[in-house]
Amino acid sequence: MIQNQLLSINILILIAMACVYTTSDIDAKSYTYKKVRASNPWARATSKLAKTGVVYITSIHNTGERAVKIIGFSTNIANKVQLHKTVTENNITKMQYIKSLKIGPGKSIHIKPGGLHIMLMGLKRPLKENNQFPLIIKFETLGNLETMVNVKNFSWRQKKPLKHKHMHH
Amino acid sequence: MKKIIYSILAILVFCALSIGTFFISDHYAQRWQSNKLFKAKLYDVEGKTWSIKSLKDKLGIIYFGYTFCPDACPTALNNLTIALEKIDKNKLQFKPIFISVDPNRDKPEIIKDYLSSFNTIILGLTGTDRDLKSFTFNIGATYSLSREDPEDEDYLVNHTVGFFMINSEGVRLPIPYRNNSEDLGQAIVRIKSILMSNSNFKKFSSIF
Repeated sequence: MIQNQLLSINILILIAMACVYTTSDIDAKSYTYKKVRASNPWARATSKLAKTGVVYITSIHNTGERAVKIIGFSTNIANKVQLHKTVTENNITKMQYIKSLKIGPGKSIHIKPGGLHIMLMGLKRPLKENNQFPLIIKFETLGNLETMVNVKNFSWRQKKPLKHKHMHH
Repeated sequence: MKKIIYSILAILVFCALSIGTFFISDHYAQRWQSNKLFKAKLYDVEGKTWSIKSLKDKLGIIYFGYTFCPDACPTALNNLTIALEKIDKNKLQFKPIFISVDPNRDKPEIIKDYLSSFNTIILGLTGTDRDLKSFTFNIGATYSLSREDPEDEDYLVNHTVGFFMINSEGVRLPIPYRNNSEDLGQAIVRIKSILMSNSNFKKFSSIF
C-alpha cells in the first residue's frame, strides 16, 4: 500500500520534472561548444512578404580564459546574415555593420532589441511562430557553434496579434 | 534729460519690434512649413491620397521608417502600439501612422503586409521621393539611403528616430524618443497637453 503511494508520488514528481524540463526547453535553450555558450537564440516572426528578419541571442558567454572573436554567422534561411548595431546619432538612427566582435574571458555579450541584432537579408521564406531554423555562429580559430533559433511572436508580450481579415471587398 | 528719455524709448521700440518680428517670422516659418505639409501628396496602402486634413479630430502620431528595417522600426512601432493600448483604449484620440521613406522597395502591398503583424491598426503611407523629402523636411525629420553600390538591393536607410504628433491644421510637435512603451505613453500624454493648450497659436494662425 505504502509502496504504491510512494510509486505514484514518484511518478507525479517525474511528470512535474518533465513539464519543467520541456517548458524551459522551449523558452530558453543553451548551446555550448568548447568554451562558448549561446543562450536563447530567438527570431521575430515576420509577415508573409518580409525580405528581412532579425535574430536575437539573450547571451553569448565565454567561459574560457582567452578572448574569443565572432567573425560571422551562417544560416540556410537567408541569403545574407550580418551582425548589426542600431546607433542613434543626432536623433537619426542608423545600422552599423559589425564585422567581428571580441568577447573577453569570462565575459558575455547580449544581442537584444534596440542594440546589437543579427540581420537576415534575403529571407527564403517567412519566419513563422514556433518554427525553428539553424544558425551557426563562427568563431575565429575556435570553430563553429551550431544553434537552433526559435521563432517567437512579433510582440514580446506573447500576445497574439489581432487578426483583421478582409474576406470580401 | 530728453535725450535719455528718447534713448530709453528707442530701446523699448527696438525690443518690441525685435520680439514682434521674432514671433511673426517664427509664425510664418510654421505656416510656410504647414502649407508644404498640406501640399505633399502621400498615399495609403490602398492607393488613396492622404493629407493631414484626413486626420480630422484625431492627433496623428507619425513614425518614419521602412519595412526592411528589422530592429529599430518594429521595436518602435511595437512600443507605440503597447503605449496606445493603455492611454487610448477606444482609439478615439490618436492615429498611429507609419510612413515608409523607402518607396523604391516598399510597395503598398508590402507595407500592408508588414503592418498586419502589429496589434493595432497602423495607417501605412508612402509617396514619391520628392513628396516624402518635402513632407519629412517640413515636419522636422530626415532620411537618407545608405547604399554604396547602386545595384545593391539590400541597402539600408538612415532615418529620424522618434515620433511626431500632428493635428489636421498642421500644428505639430516632436515626441522625444523613448525605448520603452511606458515612458513613450507618458511622453505622448505630455506632448498632447502641450499641443492642445497651444490655442493661442491656433487663434494667431487664423488671422493670416
